[in-house]
Amino acid sequence: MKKEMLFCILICAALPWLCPGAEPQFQEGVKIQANGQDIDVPVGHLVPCVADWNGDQKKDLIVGQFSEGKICLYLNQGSNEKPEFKGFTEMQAGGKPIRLDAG
Amino acid sequence: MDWNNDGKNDLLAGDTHGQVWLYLNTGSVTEPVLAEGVRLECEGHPIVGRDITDAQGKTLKPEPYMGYYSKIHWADLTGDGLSDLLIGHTCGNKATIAMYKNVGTAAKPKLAKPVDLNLSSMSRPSPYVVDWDGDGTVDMVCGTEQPELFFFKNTGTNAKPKWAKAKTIKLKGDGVQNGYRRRIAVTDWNEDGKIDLLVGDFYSAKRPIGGNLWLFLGK
Repeated sequence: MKKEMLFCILICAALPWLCPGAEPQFQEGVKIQANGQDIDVPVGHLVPCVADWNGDQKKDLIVGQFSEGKICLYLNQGSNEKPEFKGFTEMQAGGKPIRLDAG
Repeated sequence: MDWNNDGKNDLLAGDTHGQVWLYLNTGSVTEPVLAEGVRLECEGHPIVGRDITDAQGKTLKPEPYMGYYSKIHWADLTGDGLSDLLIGHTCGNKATIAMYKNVGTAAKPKLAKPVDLNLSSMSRPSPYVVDWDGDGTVDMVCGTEQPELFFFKNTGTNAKPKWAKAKTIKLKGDGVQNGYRRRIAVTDWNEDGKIDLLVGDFYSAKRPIGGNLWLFLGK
């Protein structure tokens, strides 16, 4: 490999560190799945939130939903590096499922 | 989020009337139990954007600076180490982002009268605060009603942010442009040290008004 080319590759690889003001670049998007299916809620409008809800040191997924104003909790069944989800539970408050007014 | 700094997760949620509901965790870290929701207040007045009747039959009227369609975010935007409340809302006919500065303490937040962040005009912006470009100051990323996402660089400081002109964040994905009303979360999903982006929306291939959740891994 030519020296100039190697230099060029090194510079490109080091660019994010050399320029801390660099904006993130993203790969093509994929849909997040639960139970092997794309998460797809009826009358959608998903508001995502990532947090370790149950204190097991793994990130979980909390998702707001539009029509009924539900908040769905997807507990992470995988790892932090590779989160995996099965079903969800509707979050409750005061012993009742949360229902936010939507419109 | 941890509203009262007791080390346990609480929950904060906005609704269509502009109310912001706080659900405090009365359980434990590993077994959270949320108490019934209470409305957040500002200067002794519940935050609400239009006349509503509460569960006791009392009419709640908004203050002029309060809006509806609340899209909330809890983050420090004044550099004092306390999280402040940001609300993307519609106030009159104008969609703006208001910042309610936290003038309380970490254990007992108290919200001051809000200021308008005066970002350029967007259709119902949903604010998210994060150091997007890794320069040490917090920036703003906003989803809107459209399939679009904007980055506002903070050219000021963490204590006194100054917002640059909006820059479009381009996202690629099969059908992602159909999903309007974008809402985001910024995280390191796969723990590789790079910013990843979650985008919720209002469309799916299966239903005209479904909603998928997209993951955009950082390159």
